[in-house]
Parts: sequence; structure tokens; C-alpha cells
Amino acid sequence: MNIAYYAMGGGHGHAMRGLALLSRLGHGTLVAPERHRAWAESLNVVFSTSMPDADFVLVDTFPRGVTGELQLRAPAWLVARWTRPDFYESRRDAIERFERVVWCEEPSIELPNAIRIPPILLRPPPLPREDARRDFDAGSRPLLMVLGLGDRQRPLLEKIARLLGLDLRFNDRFPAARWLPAADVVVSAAGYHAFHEIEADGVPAAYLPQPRQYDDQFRRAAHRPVAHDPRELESLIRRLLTTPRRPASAPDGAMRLAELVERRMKLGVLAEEEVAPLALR
Amino acid sequence: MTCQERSGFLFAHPCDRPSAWKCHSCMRDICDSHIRHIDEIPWCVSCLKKQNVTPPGPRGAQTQGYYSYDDPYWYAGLYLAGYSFYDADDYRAFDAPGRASVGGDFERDPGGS
Repeated sequence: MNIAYYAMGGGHGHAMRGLALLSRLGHGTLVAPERHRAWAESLNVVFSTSMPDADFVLVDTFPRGVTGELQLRAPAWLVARWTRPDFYESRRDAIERFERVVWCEEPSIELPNAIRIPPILLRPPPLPREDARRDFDAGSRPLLMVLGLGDRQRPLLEKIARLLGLDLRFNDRFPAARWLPAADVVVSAAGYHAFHEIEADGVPAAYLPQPRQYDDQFRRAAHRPVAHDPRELESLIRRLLTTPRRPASAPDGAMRLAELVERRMKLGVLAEEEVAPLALR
Repeated sequence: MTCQERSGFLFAHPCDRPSAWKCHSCMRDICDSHIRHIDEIPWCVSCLKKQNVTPPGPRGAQTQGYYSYDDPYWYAGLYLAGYSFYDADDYRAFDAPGRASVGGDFERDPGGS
């Protein structure tokens, strides 16, 4: 049975969720922008920039496709993350075409046939701390790692790192979470994947949420350390340098989704009692 | 060459006046407003501050009881214990990025996906 995961979209999150699922399933095609091809190939996931013939489709976030182009000819599930409620509210007609909605964050609206699972993350095996630090050419100073944040804050972070005597490293590697053990403190926006990977890892982190049209990074990071100006960021980093790392945790949402998809493949349309045991309660 | 000192009351920013001197200590190009002379040796106000030396006024200013809102000595970072360590650019890093990323179609919203 051919599975396709539609992950078109501007950020990395769509493709990362698709890769997390398909790498666990061991089959299926990731449909994503060309820039994600190398990531897919590094995980032995089949990659395409156009929708192949598929028996079952998972569509990430955009029920009509990224430009409204999506024509679904096979049974499909929608993988949804939290968005501002009016986004899905105004697309209810498109969502009705989906057999099931799988929320991988808190649902932003009530939808029929919806279940919630833990965050869908790549969760690559972390490197031993010393190996990860060696890869970043880190010395004996504490390492301030920047992950999932644009370049706009770079001069400020360089200034703070100089002031506090830290090694500053920008983690642009793939899969980035593999190198989180190198960090003593992480600074990130609060985009889906970086946020949940960091929280799952347990490394102390300061967030600089960025405004987005429908995503709400401020909401996502609302209960975590957030800086609103340079001095607050400096003082947060100072505090986090003495904060112990939490043990790595978080259930594997990607594995739960893989199990659900396998059940769907084996049993056909799933009844609630077949889905419920894997849902987050 | 423009002055390499930074000035501004709330946020430090490049001075941009034409430079007329070289600081004896840091060798930066400095303008008339930001240079001070001690025993005829030119010092920028930042270097004086680092040495905890209260400078005389700029040449031409009345030295007795000298005070100027424009004198960076009175508001630069080291004097106010870090208050102005961060400048306008640092604060701008917390501003919303250009409208392109918060307007338009959601399908083009690049973040947090």
C-alpha cells in the first residue's frame, strides 16, 4: 500500500513531521519542497516534489494544500498543529473530506473524528555530550546554542555571549536535536519542531517567540522562559546557566501516529475504540 | 572618516559626526564632541569611563560645572552599570519582522510550521 505525506509549506515543521512518521513506518513518500530532499535521503525516505499515486494520504496542516491545489483521490488524514482558530474554522468544508484529524498539539477548534497525540518529532538518538561538543568545536566554556531562530538576533546573541564568556554556536545541522547535548543553554524562537525537541530533550532554554499570522509562538512558549528585550534575555541566560538539565522525556508522538497508520492499513477505516488507546488523554 | 563613538540618550547608536581626533588609548577616530583632552592628550569618553576618570568638558565648553545631555559620559553603559550596554539594534531584534511575514496567505506563513 502506497502512503504519501503531503508536507508542502514554508517552514521546516511540515517536512520534519513527515520525516518523523515515514522514517518510523519504513515506507511511504514525503511530498515536500526541493530543499528538504537531502534530509529525506539522509533518512532513506522516498522524496517527491509532486503528489504520487497513493492509497492513503496524510496532509500536514493545510487541508486544501499550500496553494489550494490539493486534489485528494485517496482516503486521507489531516495532521494538524495548533493554529489561530479562524484558520481551520474557515476551512471546515475542506476538512470534511478527511477521514480523521490528528492533532499533534492542543486542538485550536473542535473538529469531528479528531484525536490528539503527543508532538510528532524526529527525536533522533542524541550524541554523547563530548562528541556533540567536539562537533561544534566547543572549548571548556559553557555553550550557548541557537536553534530555530533567524539571523536577526545574531549580533545581540554575540554580544551576550561575549559578556557572559560563552561559546556561541548556531545549530544548523540535520537533525539538529542530535546535537542538543552539546548545549548548556539553548535560545530559540518557539516554532513547532525546535520548541518540542528542546522541551523533550530537557536542556535549559530561553525562547524568543516570533509573530506569525496563524501560528502562535507566544502561546506555545507561554509557560516557558521567554525574553522580551535584550536585558531580559541576558538575565534569563545567566539564570539558565545554573539550571540543571531536566531528564529527557516526552512520549513519541511519531511512533503513535505510525501505529495508527499501520492499523488503518490493516483494518481499514478505524473505529474509535481502535484509535482511543493511542490518543493522548 | 566618521566618529566611532556611540551616542544617544536611551539607545546608543553610531555618532556619525566627522572625526577630528584619534583616541590616545583605543586609537579610534573620534569627533570633537566625543574627545576630551587631559594634559593635551586626546581621550575618547569611553576610555575615560573605563578608567573611571570624570572628564573635562569638550573644548569650548565651560569647564566649571560642565554638564551636557549630549555627553556620552553621563549615560554610556559603564556609567549606568549596563543600562546602555544594549543599543537600538539589539532592541530591534525583538520587533516584529517585516509585514510580509505577518500578512498575506497563511500558506506562505514561514514560521512555526
